[in-house]
Amino acid sequence: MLAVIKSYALEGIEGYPVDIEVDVQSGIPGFDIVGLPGSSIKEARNRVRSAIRNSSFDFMPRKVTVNLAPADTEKNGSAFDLPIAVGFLAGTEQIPDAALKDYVIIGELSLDGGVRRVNGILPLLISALMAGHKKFIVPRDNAKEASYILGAEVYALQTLSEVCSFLGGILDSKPVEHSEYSSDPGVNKYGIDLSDVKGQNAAKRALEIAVAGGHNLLMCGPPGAGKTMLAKCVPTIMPDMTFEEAIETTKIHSVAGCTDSEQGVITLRPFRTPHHTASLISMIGGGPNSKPGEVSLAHNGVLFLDEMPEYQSKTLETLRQPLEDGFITVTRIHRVIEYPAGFMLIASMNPCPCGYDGSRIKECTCTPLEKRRYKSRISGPLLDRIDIYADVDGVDYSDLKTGIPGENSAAVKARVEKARRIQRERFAGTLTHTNARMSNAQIKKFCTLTPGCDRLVEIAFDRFKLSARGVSRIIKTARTIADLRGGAEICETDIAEAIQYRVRETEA
Amino acid sequence: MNGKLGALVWMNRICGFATQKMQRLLAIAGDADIRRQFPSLYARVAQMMGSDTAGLMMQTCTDEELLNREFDLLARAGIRTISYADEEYPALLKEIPLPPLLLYCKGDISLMQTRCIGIVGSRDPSRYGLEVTELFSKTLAKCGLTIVSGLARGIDSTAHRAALEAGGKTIAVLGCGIDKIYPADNAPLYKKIEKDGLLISEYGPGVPASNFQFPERNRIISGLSEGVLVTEAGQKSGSLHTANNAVDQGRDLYVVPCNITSSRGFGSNMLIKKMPHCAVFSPDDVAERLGIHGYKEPVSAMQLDFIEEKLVAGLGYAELNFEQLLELTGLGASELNATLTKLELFGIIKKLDNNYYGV
Ligand SMILES: Nc1ncnc2c1ncn2[C@@H]1O[C@H](COP(=O)(O)OP(=O)(O)OP(=O)(O)O)[C@@H](O)[C@H]1O
Ligand SMILES: [Mg+2]
Ligand SMILES: [Zn+2]
Repeated sequence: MLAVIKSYALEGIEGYPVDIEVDVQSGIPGFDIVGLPGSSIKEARNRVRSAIRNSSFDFMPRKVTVNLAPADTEKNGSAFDLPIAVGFLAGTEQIPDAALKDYVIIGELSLDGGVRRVNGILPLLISALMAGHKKFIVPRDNAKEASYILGAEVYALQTLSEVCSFLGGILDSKPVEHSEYSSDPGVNKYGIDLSDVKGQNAAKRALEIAVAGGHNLLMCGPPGAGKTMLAKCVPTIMPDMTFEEAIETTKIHSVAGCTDSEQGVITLRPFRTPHHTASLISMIGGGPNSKPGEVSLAHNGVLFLDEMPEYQSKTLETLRQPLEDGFITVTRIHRVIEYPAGFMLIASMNPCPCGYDGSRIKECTCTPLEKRRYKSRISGPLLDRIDIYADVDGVDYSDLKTGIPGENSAAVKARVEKARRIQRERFAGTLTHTNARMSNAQIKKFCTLTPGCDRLVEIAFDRFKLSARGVSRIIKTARTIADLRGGAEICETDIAEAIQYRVRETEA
Repeated sequence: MNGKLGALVWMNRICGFATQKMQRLLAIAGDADIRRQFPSLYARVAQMMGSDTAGLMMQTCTDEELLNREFDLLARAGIRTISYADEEYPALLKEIPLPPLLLYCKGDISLMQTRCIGIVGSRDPSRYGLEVTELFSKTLAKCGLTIVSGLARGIDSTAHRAALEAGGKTIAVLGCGIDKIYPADNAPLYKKIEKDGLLISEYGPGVPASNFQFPERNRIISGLSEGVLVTEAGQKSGSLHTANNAVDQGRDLYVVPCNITSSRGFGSNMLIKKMPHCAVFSPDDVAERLGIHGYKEPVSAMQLDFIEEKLVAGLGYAELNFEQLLELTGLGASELNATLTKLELFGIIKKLDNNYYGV
């Protein structure tokens, strides 16, 4: 007899429907899975057999054929275990099949018949809901994540026998209660606050401007100056994630399998710090399961490259597409997958390989050649996409001990949110969201310079040997500074301040 | 064609002889035109330098076409050749032992007639060394002195650059062929000096840089100059060699004292220990010893407000970092940034590494 179960599979951060057809015939016993199953699905056979036996059902030796339709896309993961088992039980008439067509079933099985959590529940259910499906059977451990989807009737069950009793109408289970998204405005849950950082007012101001205008930032300073600490504060001054942003972020983390069952939806902006030895695949995504990489996990948050010159130039090169487009394309044998990758880049570096060039405490021991090599590693296309450059020097011990705590993150965040609002209005109806992403035409339109500003830029151009790109970075930054003070026009002090954060690449 | 110059270009470019060998050959020839009368000199040359050398010279001595082609080549590359007998040849340079007989030049050769001062130092200087170099080079260039150096990394490049930035003149003496840019990343500076200054070398086009040539080059730097200033030299810096040349050639030597806790200034300080009278503490010290009036910066026309005055005065006392300036001025971070830029743009203060500022 033939049973058909509805399930969903992942492609990128979207789900697509897969019909699981289980045909059970008498004949030479066997268990075949067709329809381009990946190796993890081929192994489903063994898990399904044990789970069924250990749930006190009968795994009768039959000729079983499982087809995963559409048959022409390669499928991976273990989320089909449960639908295959249910299909077998229906095909062998051990459970009634009347209710089956109403549900989308997703879940992995353990050998003892338990239903295990799977990756990507959120994107799978959202796609299915949009395709018109209403009722879902998912693993109990995925309940929290699924509960945020409004309009879905989600049954989160713990074992194969529970699923069968439920489908047979014997077990009366309630759908998962809907959770409201709340980002707890006003509460800083990042475990660090800008007021923890003593001194460093130049760098803090740089962070504020960078976050307000979505500018990428490079911090340069000796070891222990507090660069990492400052970078960690960035999410605390970013606006709270909207529900849409939270869902999108959770989708990516869910697909990557790094959400946990307690958490449900990710409400904190990600802060990702891939090590400089990280492989290309872990950075951009891909690999056998086409998992999203660090650039996507940092979506809506911060990608922090500590010691940027240590990264391989190949790795840095791959950041260009996401920095430009906000997404990354991962090419696989059979298809091309796109993952969102809209992050703010924060990079840190030492002034030289030993870290103490220009320091007042310790003498630099690097040769000129070493210094030039080190600096040349970050030049080029990536530096062009970094608007703000901040020198960070260590703080005196006395300041560390007694320094007056500066503003806290909430105060700065309020200004950032105001500046972001101004930008939303400015760019309404365009694809641009922040000043950092302005096109040349938009710079012309929104950054008209008074004659005084113009002259200032001109003097700076000569004096600091700026490039044309350097000038447009300064103007974009000045636009953000003006937005932070609520000014409609860019004024001279805005330009002047922006010039302090110029990338000092060409100055000797 | 053109007697002495022709003979030198023939010996240097076609026969491949360096200055010392050319000197000996000219001594043999005495007053005679060595090229025209070579057949009569052949026997003595063969006796002194071997018959291979003499044979090669014999073959080419009257080949006018070969020589003309060499001159054409130089002319097309924009290279001037000046022999020690030409009137453009700098008088001071003639006084040194073994002066170069033939100079290859690119740029403004009249600079060799101006008063010159050499500024040299290590290729791996400290920030202090670079600052000192910039200060002395700029000020002395503004006093009308031509700054002579060797276009090496570090102090040399900074000396050239500062002179040009101050609107002054500079001569770079190369330790490789006149058309070779070494180190290669000095290409922009090389071009600028060619345009606004003068490049000279004892070596013709195509001669690669090599270690024995740099000391030879150093004698020309000091030879062109009335005095040589060492701004920062480590224990083994090549600039110490130039300093010794200067003393041997009877030129003035000036040395800027360096940080005694830093190895980068060890050589400089040792020079001062040996010759305390060499120490100079400001560009004016150098100008005074050369008998010229020091240069005074015209007072900036810019009006500074109270806070700006305070800031500039504070920086005049010591280099301060951003935090210290916040405290000093009482400004917020944003206003301080804007103020710093303004003062920086007018050349009153300077942004240093690690968030420090100085005047
Ligand atoms: N301004 C500061 N206020 C308070 N604590 C600070 C400050 N600067 C540094 N620290 C302390 O010093 C530690 C080291 O700082 P951090 O790791 O951020 O330095 P870093 O610049 O990233 O150094 P490295 O180059 O070695 O990575 C921090 O964990 C923090 O405890
Ligand atoms: Mg760090
Ligand atoms: Zn170093």
